[in-house]
Amino acid sequence: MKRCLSALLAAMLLACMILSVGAAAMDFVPVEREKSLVVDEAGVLTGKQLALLNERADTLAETCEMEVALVFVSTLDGRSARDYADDYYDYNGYGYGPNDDGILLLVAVEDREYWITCHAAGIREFDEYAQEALADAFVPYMSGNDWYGAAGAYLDQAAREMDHSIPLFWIPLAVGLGMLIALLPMLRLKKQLNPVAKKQEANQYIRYANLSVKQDQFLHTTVTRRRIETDSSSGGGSTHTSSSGRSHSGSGGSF
Amino acid sequence: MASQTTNYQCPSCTGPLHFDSESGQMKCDYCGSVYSVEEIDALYGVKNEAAEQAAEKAAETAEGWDYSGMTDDWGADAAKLNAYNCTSCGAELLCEATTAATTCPYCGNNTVIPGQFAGSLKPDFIIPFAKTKEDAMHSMRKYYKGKKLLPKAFSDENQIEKIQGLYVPFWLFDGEADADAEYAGEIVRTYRTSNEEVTETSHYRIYRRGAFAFDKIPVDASRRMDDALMDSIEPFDYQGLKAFSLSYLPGYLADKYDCSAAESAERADKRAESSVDGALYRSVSGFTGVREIRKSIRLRRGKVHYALLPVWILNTTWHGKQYTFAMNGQTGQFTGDLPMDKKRYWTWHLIYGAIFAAVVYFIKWLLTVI
Repeated sequence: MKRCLSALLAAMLLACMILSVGAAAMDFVPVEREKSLVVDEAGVLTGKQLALLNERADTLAETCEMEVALVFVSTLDGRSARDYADDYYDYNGYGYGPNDDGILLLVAVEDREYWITCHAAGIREFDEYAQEALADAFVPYMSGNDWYGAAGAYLDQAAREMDHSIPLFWIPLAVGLGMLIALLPMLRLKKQLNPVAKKQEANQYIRYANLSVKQDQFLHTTVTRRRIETDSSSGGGSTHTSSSGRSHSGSGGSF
Repeated sequence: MASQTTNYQCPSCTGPLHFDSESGQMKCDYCGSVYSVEEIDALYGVKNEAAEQAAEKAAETAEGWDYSGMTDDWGADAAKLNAYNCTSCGAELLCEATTAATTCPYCGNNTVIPGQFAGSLKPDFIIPFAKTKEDAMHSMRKYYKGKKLLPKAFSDENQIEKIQGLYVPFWLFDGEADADAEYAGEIVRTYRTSNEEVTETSHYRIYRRGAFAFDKIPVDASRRMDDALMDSIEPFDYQGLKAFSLSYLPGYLADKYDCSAAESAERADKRAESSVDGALYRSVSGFTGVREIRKSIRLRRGKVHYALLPVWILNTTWHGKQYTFAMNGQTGQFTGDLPMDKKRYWTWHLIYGAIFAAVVYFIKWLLTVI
């Protein structure tokens, strides 16, 4: 029901957009994806490699409900890598579900530039740290012109970022910590059995206690200052609006 | 080893009288007569002299037996043991030198042995028993409850071997103290400007001076009695202090002090000192950190009182180990160390451990999802 409703909403949004864009009929965002998840327009992969990568990307999209796309192009045709990637994502209908959740890595093989663009749930899933981790994974391969290796590293790292299962070592760690914390109530229970102890004070037998002098004399103040490291990172998590009017986040670089 | 004993006989039927902790009066079990402590005191002031003469009857010597291997020299034990004659049935009994009241095992009469007090101080005060043996048994069962690690067999078998009402000798110390102390205090304030974290520490010199007075800090004067056990049934309600009279003793055991006031005073001093120290320190407030620079406590010792305070002592042996419990005979405060069931301990540790492990894992899961 909810899905139908959001699909309807998306359709209405689409209709509005078509109206507003008007004559530019070829600029509309298709509902269904028109290309495969891994596209090789630069001809750097063999047919078998492409098929393998697409198979993996499709499986990932189904299990994580998030499309992880990869496009190899030769050049950016003078456009910015960001716009190229955003438009490629939008106008080819990439993204999972009614909100088009996903991430796309655009690689311009000859320009030696790349851009990661994220949309909808992809923005939340791949924050600036995750994008950095992705780049760290595939950039070394691309520097060595190992395109298939780069594609594999990208898909692997994306899968790791989306894996929210807790590492196995947390089971013994949690048990250990639990047993340690359990010492607190156990000590209390043990104390119940051994209440006999010598009294150290005689507070019950004070007939009078008269504090005649109570002085709190201020002496001096010392001040220490520490510089706070200001956040200098460019804010890859921030979003911008692409030409289709949809918001994207992204980051890129050269290799 | 001549000694004299007093047991109180009912003026109407000559049955044994004992101090009844519930009514606070002397009671005869046989005819039900009840007398106030003062009445019996007045009556026995006269009667005691007659009893003295009766006790001095020489022991008979049997003829025809060879006694050569025996001696009347008790050696070192002489100081520890005392013989007395039960004034009711005449049995000669031995008891420890510090025991001042007991029950004759032959006729069940409650007997006071005033000879035992001879040469030592007469107690100034006594707090009579207000709790009965039944109260003690009841408190014991209640004491077992809610203790998860207590072996079930221990509470189920519940074999109290010995339960006795004992007047324990206590020294009660009065004293005063003048004290002053100096502390260094800091107030730390941290705030952020646009690009700095600023820590402002204000330093203070803190001075405190005060006068304190203590009333009757109790220290048990019996070596046989565990100090920690006696401390743990404090406090006694001093409103119940009565001028000492032998009439309160029948029916209960009574010890006399074997730890001098001078020896015991040290513990009272220590407790007073730590109370003064604590009071001074607690009066310092509003600081982030406080450090003691200098402290001087001058104690002035005051009056010492000697009092007999009522304690129910319960003994039991379990798995070869002796367990002693004590109940304040006036307030009913019950205490004593108990054995631990290792299996139960680990069961509970695992239960708690599993719960906390689940909580830790859940928190980790929450952090991963968000």
